[in-house]
Amino acid sequence: MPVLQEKTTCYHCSDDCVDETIHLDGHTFCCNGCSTVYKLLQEVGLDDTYANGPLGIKPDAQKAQELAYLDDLEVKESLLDFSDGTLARITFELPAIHCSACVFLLERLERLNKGVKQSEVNFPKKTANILFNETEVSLKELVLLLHSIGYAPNLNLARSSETKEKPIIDRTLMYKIGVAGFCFGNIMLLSFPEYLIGNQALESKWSTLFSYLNLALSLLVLLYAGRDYLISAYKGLRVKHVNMDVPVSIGMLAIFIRSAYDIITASGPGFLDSLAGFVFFLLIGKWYQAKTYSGLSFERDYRSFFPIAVNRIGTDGQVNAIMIKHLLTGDEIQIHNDELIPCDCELLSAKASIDYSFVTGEAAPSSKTEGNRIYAGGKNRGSAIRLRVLKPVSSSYLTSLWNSTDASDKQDVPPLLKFSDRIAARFSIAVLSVAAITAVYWIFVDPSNWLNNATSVLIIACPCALALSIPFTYGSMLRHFGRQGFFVRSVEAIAKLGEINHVVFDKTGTITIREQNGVILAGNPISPDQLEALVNVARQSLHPLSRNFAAAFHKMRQENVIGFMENPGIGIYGMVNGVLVELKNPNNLTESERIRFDDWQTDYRGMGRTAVMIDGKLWARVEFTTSYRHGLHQVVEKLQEENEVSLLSGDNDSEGLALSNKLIAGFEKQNMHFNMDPHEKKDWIKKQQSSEGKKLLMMGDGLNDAGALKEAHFGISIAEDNGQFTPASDGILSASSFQKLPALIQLARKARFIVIAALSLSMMYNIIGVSVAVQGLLSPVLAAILMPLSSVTVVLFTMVSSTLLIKNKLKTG
Amino acid sequence: MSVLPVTALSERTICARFLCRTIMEVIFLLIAISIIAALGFLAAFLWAVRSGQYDDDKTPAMRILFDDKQSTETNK
Repeated sequence: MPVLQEKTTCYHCSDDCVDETIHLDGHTFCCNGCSTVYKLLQEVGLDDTYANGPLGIKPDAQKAQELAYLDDLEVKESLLDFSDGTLARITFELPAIHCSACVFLLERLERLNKGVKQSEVNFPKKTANILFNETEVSLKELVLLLHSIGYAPNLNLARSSETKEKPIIDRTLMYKIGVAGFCFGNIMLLSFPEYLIGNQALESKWSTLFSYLNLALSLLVLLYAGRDYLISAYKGLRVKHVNMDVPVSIGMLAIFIRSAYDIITASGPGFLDSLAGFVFFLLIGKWYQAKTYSGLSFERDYRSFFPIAVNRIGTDGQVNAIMIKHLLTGDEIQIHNDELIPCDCELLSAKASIDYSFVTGEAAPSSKTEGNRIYAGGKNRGSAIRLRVLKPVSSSYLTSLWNSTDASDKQDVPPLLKFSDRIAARFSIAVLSVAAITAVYWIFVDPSNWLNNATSVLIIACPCALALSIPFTYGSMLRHFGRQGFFVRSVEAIAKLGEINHVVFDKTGTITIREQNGVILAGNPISPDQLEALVNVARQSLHPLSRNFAAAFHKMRQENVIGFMENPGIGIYGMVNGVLVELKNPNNLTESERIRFDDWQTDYRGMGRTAVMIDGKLWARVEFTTSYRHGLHQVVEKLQEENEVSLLSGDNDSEGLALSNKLIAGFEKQNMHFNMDPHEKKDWIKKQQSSEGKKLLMMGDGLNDAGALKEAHFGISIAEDNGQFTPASDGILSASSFQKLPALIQLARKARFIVIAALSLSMMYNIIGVSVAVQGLLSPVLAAILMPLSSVTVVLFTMVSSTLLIKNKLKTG
Repeated sequence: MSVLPVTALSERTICARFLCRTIMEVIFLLIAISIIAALGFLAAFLWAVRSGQYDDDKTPAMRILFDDKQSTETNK
């Protein structure tokens, strides 16, 4: 057994110190990186940062070498917000920002480098806006600084596009709410004396003045704050379509016109406070519904995943960094380990190992030889390779699938919203008829007040509660979901989620956890020293299997390896503490060894079988298993109760048996489809939805799912952490919330019941109000009480019901 | 309104109505002034929203809690 060391935690990143422990200033650190950052912060007096707790971030020194392209003028221009030759401004996306210590440290960057003049962090967006002097610190040095303290910026193609629209923040809704609120409060204030006095005629020079002031304020409400409703109703009516804004506009205009008439003819104070309150509540509903998650993007396409520049080998052999949009067919490029291949290429090096899991879903890297075609989006897992460009970046085979601005946009409106528009139509007709009947009735019975009574009906029939049920119910759901780690793009999207009846999963990265393979050992038992030796030898290699092996034992102590050799295709070997160990490709074993190798039995068949040789003799076998997400079989089981569940994978079917096992996943055999390329996935979903009329939920994680996610009725991207790229989707699910999926779908379904209940509640108010109005008993005071009351009741009801529903659901599961 | 004989009682009534009207006039005046003050607040709100103070409402909350060692030392 490895020697039990006393458990110490790193003062900087709060990881356990396992590999080594560095003591400094009475604190312990897990590695050189963390202790360096600590020293750095201490020198500039920033060690106060630790007052907010350990930073929890491990600085990444390796990537720093590949930043040479940041010296290129064109790259700089595309990244900087602004530059005048001396001062420059840039906004960095820093996904590592996660706490107030990060904000503290990043806003004091000028103490780490004098070239930085100003630094402002936007925590919800996880960005830092930095003003720096280009003559004192270059962009490359700035980025290196950020890497060294653990905040590597996201520099991808999307950030450097020339059509970088400066996001114009739309504040008009806030202005309108402010104005509506102001008018609401002041109209109420101005109407106060009228209510106080009651029906007694008040001859005061003030009362007429106040009435006209009210009129002026309500003009402001009608023409500015409430403008959007009038415009939308008009547009709808022009195409003969009655939407929810039509009854709202009828109400608004009825109140205004009747009140204006009453005030000008001095026959009453009008109902203007009802108008202002009505518009105010509606605008608040609009604001509540428009909740966005500014730190996430539901629109990402491949540009957020690709790098900005790549190394091109010129005809003279010189290596230069150029922006990938400038790559031409025939260019030779050099791609290092872990770098992304930006366009369709031909392999010039002898061998390569390419990981396509993100773009096609194949879990294991594929081996390519000289002359093979390599597709854009693959990652190089091995030493540096040379490639020849076959097609420019934007016309690669898969780009059309990845473009989120592709014009296959689904234009369907969720039935629930169509339903509310239909209610709006019926409501308007009903109200207008009742008003007409009232008018006719009173003309015959007592014609002195017939117009007043008819308009009272139009005034009190409040569609505001109708208009508030949906925004507040789904808006509350949106916020609650966000707290549970499920970020939905909009209220309309939640309505769509409630309609699905068929759930589809991608495999690699969605139900499996990337880069977290389990290890199965077979054959002779391996002693702790031997394991230590094997792990340290594996650490020296870039081969995917070696990396998998090393990752599984990443906490193993670091030891020196003597005489390390890697023979591609054959194996790796080295000597650690006197033990000679080798990890060998089983195809290179002797016949007798091979027989023994294949003979060893294990319960579970994994992949990537490798032979372990100790002192030159076959000793054991190592193979890798896939890690499935925790709770996968429960999720599938629960979903199968109410939906059909399928699997669409770009990988081969080697795991088919495991996946049909109810203890692992429990997919039905006929619902699992393998070897599907991204186009086929999209077409399959399209067929299911069009020919079989099903509504599909698709869950995926990489670019290989981008087309399918768009095509599905509701698409979910699953993300391990916030900084990870997610393809365009309707919702982003945190990996840690994966088990909540069945509950979340059921909640979305139940939400429509809350909406219906709220609509019924508001109907009740309307019936009461209208019955008062038809009798001619409606006074401004009564209207002013009833309308806000109904709005507030509906709002409270929806918010409380949705909170209770969620709490209840998540408790019982 | 019926014609009342001028008596001590009606004098009190007239006084009361006059008082009532004066109080109402005072209330009116106060309301008018408060509206002017409210206009000022509305202007301030619109200016604050326009200058971007409400665009990010989470980060400023974190900033006020920071304790700058250097600045507290220079203040000593």
